[in-house]
Amino acid sequence: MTVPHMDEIDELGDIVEVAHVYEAMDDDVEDSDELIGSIEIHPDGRLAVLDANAARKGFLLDVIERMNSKPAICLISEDPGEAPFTTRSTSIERGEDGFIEAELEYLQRHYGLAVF
Amino acid sequence: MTLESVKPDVPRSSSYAGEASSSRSVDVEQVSALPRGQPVRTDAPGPSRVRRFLAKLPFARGLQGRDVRTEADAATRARESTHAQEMEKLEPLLKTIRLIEKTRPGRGGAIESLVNFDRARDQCRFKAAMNDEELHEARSGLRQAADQVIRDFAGLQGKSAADTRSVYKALYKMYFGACERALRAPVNTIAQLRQRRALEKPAKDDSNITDILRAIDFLRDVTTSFVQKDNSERKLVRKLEANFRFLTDIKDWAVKQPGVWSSAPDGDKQEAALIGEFMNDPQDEADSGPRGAQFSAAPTITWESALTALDMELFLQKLEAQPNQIDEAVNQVETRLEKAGQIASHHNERLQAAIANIEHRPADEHADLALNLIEATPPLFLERLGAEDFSRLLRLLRTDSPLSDPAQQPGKSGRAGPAGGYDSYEKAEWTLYRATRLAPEFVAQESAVKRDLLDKLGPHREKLRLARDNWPTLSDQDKLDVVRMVSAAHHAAMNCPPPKEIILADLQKGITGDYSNRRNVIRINRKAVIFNDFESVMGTVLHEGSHNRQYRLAEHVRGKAIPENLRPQAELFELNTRRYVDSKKDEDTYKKQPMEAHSFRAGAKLSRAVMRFLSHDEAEPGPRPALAAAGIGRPTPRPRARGELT
Repeated sequence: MTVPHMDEIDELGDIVEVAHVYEAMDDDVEDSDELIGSIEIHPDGRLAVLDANAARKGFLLDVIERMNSKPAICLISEDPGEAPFTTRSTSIERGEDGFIEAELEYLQRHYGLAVF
Repeated sequence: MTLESVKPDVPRSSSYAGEASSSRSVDVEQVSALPRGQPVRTDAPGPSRVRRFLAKLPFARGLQGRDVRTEADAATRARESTHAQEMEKLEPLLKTIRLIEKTRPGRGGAIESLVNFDRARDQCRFKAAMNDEELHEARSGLRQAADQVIRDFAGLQGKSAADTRSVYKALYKMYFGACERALRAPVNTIAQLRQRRALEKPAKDDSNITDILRAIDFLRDVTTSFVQKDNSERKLVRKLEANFRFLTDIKDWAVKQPGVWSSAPDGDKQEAALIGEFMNDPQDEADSGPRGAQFSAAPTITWESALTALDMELFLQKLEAQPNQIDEAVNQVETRLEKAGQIASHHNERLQAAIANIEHRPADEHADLALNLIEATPPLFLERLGAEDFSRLLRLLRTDSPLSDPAQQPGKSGRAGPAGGYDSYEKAEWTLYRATRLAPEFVAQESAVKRDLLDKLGPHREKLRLARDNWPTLSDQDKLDVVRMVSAAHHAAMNCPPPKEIILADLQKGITGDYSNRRNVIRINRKAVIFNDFESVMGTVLHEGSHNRQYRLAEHVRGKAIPENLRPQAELFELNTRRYVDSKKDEDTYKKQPMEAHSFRAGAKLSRAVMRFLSHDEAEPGPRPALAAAGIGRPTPRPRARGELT
């Protein structure tokens, strides 16, 4: 019996996930999410639009292009600051653990795009 | 060379068409004479036959020595390319199978499925004779065969997991990260709801492979099905979830109440009775007793009883048995939610009456009575209080209480009142803070702020887009100019005086920015990691600007000059400014206290609106104006005096 070495598992790092993108059409309306397209999520965090509905294609392409140009993802942290009315931030470099999760959170926070 | 230079070689006379039609070799020779590597204008004037021939050529380059493709060839090639793209999507799955083949060569039930998988893979080899439907079927077959291999492999789990851990890890790597996201995905069908609930309950076996398989199924389903909003099943699922959340919240509260909950054998009945008590209006209860108790004794499951018993599984079972009754189920859930709303309103009325009663009591009793009331009320019902009632309750809690006595602060000698010392009052205050919701009138005004902000930014849209696209390369001063422009529009939209200053500062690295009410200054930290991130800087300046507005509203409360529709929220802000919860004390309360809850919400919401506003129609082609033409970016940044910006 051949047990694959962990290196072989690590080769699986090049798996590309496919996910759907929902956009919150109105922040004030519950259940306003609409499916606007699907994207590929590459292991290094690069995103690629697979398809999108015509009305939001320009928007989605633009956002994805911006995301791909970011060397790091900055997140405004809701963790407490030291003084009142202080906001804090964290940054995750491309290639670091947690980059993709941060990227998806960023998409949600700044663009209202939920990726599932 | 363009076609212009080829024109002399192509006769234009109409008689040529006839000649050309008689000899194909003329066409080929003519076209072959085109220089390599040059584009060909297929709309060139000339004989129609030649134009048609040219139109068939994708490129003129490399024509010699190549077959001239027919339209059928091109279509086949396009189908082959599409098929290859679709196969690419299956690649992660196929990799897993290859790993399984290595790990468990020909073990037990997996042998047959692996053979079938090989056959299915052969079927997926592209053949020109296959039409699109056949190709699609072949791919579906491969996916199913791969699934079967994984299932058979999973069937071998459980005894010795060590040698299969790698495959498990591979599966996990592929699917589970995505699964966590999928668990948050909005489900649309009863089947998906069941799948998700199954996923939420971890499997009992050690390998967790069952979870992964469930996750795979769920992910595929939830991400490939699209259900219209007006679909009755989708509506049912959403309402069911809302109902379930409502009941769960009550249960969560009840569990924490001493004496209300019991782990005795008949705890389930108590649960049902308790929920029934909350979910039934007094008249129903008088007629037939608590519905929960009724359910416990009921021989059959009814929609009402399943909902009342807080048992989604029962409800889904009922629905599964009678799949045609979705509309009826929707009605039942709607009725239940409506009733729940009525009951909540009823409780609210009682709560408001209790607040009024306390207000009529002697002042020295206010704090203790308010404390008792807060502790005895489920947060779910506190959340439904209006901003005005929150303020009344907060004031009562602070009247002549340790909260308003500096000597009673932590570290000082606390008063041991009937309900406990300082901590009890503070805890009740935090409970109130966490339960507060923005006043509806204020929320409506916030939507107007969003629209006004975008209107005011409209003339600067191109400038902002350029700033966004070039943000990391802009000088500090240019960034500050943009921040000030956005903040000015934000404050104008809020109808709020802007802060005295917006400056760049050298704060601690982790701090993004802050707002000082005392100095009325917003500071953006240029040493922060986010300073080079346009979206984050915009989010920060909008968040901090919201704090400025809260303070101005609070000042208006003290000065009695404020629009009546904003007064309830303003009063709540004013009360919050007096006792702002330090972030170090309690993180959850910090985020949910009125001022921070509003700023986080407003900052994120407005920032999203601005980003979408800037991105809209971004795909339009065309050159962008130079930065300098839009007034952004100076060739040589102006030297800045030390400390000038701070």
